[in-house]
Amino acid sequence: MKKNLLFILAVLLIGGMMLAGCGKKDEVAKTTDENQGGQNEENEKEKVEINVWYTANESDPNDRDHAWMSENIELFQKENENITIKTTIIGGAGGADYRTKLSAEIAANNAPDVFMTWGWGRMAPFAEAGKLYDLTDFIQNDPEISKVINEDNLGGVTFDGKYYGIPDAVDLHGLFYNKQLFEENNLELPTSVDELIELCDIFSQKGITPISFGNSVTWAVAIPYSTLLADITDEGFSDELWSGNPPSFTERPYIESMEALNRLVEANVFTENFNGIEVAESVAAFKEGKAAMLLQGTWQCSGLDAALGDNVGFFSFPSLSGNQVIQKAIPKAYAISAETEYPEESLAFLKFMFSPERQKAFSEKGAFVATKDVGIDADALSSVSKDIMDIMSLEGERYTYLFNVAFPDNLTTETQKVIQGCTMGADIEESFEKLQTFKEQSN
Amino acid sequence: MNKMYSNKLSILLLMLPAMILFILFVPVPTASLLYGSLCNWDILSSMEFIGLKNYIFLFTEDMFFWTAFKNNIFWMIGSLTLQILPAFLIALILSRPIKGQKLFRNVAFLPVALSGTAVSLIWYFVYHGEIGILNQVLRLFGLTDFNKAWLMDAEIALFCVLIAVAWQWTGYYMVMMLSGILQIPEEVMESAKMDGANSFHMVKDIIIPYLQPVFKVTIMLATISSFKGFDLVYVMTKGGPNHATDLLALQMYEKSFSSGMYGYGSAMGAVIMGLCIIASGIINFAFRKSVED
Repeated sequence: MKKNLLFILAVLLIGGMMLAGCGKKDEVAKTTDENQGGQNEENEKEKVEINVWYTANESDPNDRDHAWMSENIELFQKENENITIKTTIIGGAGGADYRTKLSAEIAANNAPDVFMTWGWGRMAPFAEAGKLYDLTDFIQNDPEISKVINEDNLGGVTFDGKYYGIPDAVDLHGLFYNKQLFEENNLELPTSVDELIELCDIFSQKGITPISFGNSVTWAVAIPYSTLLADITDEGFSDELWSGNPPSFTERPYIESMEALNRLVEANVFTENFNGIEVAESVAAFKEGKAAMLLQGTWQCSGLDAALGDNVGFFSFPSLSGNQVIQKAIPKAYAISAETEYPEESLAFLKFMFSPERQKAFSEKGAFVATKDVGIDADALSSVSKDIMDIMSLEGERYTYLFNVAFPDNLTTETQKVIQGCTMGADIEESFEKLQTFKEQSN
Repeated sequence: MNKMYSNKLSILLLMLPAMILFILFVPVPTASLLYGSLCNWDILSSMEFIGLKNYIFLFTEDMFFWTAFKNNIFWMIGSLTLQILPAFLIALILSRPIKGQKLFRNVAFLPVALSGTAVSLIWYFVYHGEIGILNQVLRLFGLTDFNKAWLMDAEIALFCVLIAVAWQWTGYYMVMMLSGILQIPEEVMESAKMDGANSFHMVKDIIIPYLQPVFKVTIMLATISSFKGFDLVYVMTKGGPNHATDLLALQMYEKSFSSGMYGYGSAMGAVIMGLCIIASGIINFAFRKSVED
């Protein structure tokens, strides 16, 4: 009898331990805090921990986001000793893993207090679900912040007339080029697709990859496509694209732009088998001087500066007509969770990040800050950064974004796959008809 | 002790922790999946009950479901051909008293110990268009014309991934079959030899019948795994190029986590579960007589 009782107690104990182990970590932490509350009550109230999430490649010394954010976090904690920042950094090409995990946490009402996200279609679901803190008052009325925020750059973070994020940088998509290779071959920068094909042929004959390009991430092929599309359409067409409800994919401009892109593919201007090449591989090939140009975004600047110095320049991807189309990248932005327990501290951190001093520091790491009047020294910029700033400050030119920047995530992914498929021989009209069917079904 | 085991209360208490964990991790999530599949849910707002609309759309209008289903069937046939058959042949060879038998067995089993991601990355670089070993070997033999970006070829990409899967899992099934062969009573083998049976007859009339229960388990595992296939395709091709290597589990993942259509993703999950149950039933039925024998 005694043995049976002991045995039953042992089973219950083991079962209880197993179930307790399945409990949430923060519940255990709260219990611990409660136990210690009696002794250090005053200190517990003052001390605050906020969660900050962002995506970066920690192992890359030229990753400007990681370099800047890790400094921000360290310096902010030094100035605010009662605030501890718990950082979560999630890597992965294109930020897909980061977006998946962030969405899951936001949906589970466990969102970080401050987090990096992207504007336009990727921010829209969070804003519509009321998961983002309204920053309108902060941006417009805070004495320091209101002076530095450039409202021209807030398009991607505005929903129903309210601001839900602060963009950190303005980047462009286009072509970096090796100045030495161009000079050695007496070549000028091409402005049209025809000139680009001629120029690329000259490089190919000398065994130099004309344009180093990695599209295993799938989205990058939308860069040349979006420029070609913007060139043959008007502002009204672009406005419809960016409204999130694009014109029917069976319309001729989509088809003609794809045909133009395929002309470039068939002329072998890009790396062979570019759809299987990683971005990092394409950047490495350009840095090693194996390619004359690199199709990428201006966030690559700091790494290219370090490798090539004054030997690298930048220009917009050529169009069919020869008119310049300046393509802006989808902005990254920092937002605050609507459910944060520490809005004041979170806003204080944002204010610190977007102070003139921290914005200058970001600029020195190769970023083209989205703020204004923060005292950036134009003379201190690298050669390629000056090229980029010159392009950004042009007026009267046609500006565009990736054509799918405002689409819902599933449609964005599908458009990328369709364009990739067409570059590999899929029938263009049939592919875009299927894309239109997909869009109608998704609605 | 015997009294304790005959005591129903003791038995129940012994089983209780495992039962609780089982209920929490199997029936409860399954019920949640099935309810979720009847709803429209983007995870950010509340679930909206829509009945069977997800299933109707899935079977009648989803452009990529049938492509993924067809790929899964190809995956299943490929798994059985490239994993079960070679596993049986290798087990037959290793069942003989050859030198280095244990070493070969361990080497054959080694890929099983690797994670799916590690295997994916290994084979990703084997198939790489520029620096891949496969293309380099072809160049070595003067077959440069056959060089290609293997994972970017819609015709062959899925087969390439299947080779990687077979490389990883053949050893797993081989160990099970080898164990089954080694358990065949020695006297049965001896008496067959004395009756004049050659190697072919030994395999056909002794080994294969004795291995029926093992075949049933291995075929069931390979079939169910093929319907759940995800990790290698996700890392190596992400379902591309242009859905050529799309699988049901990958579609489920994309619809749920990338597109925020959790209700629809749940419906796909329920379909995958249904296919696994149907496949198990068919295999059980096919092997019922041989197991009884």
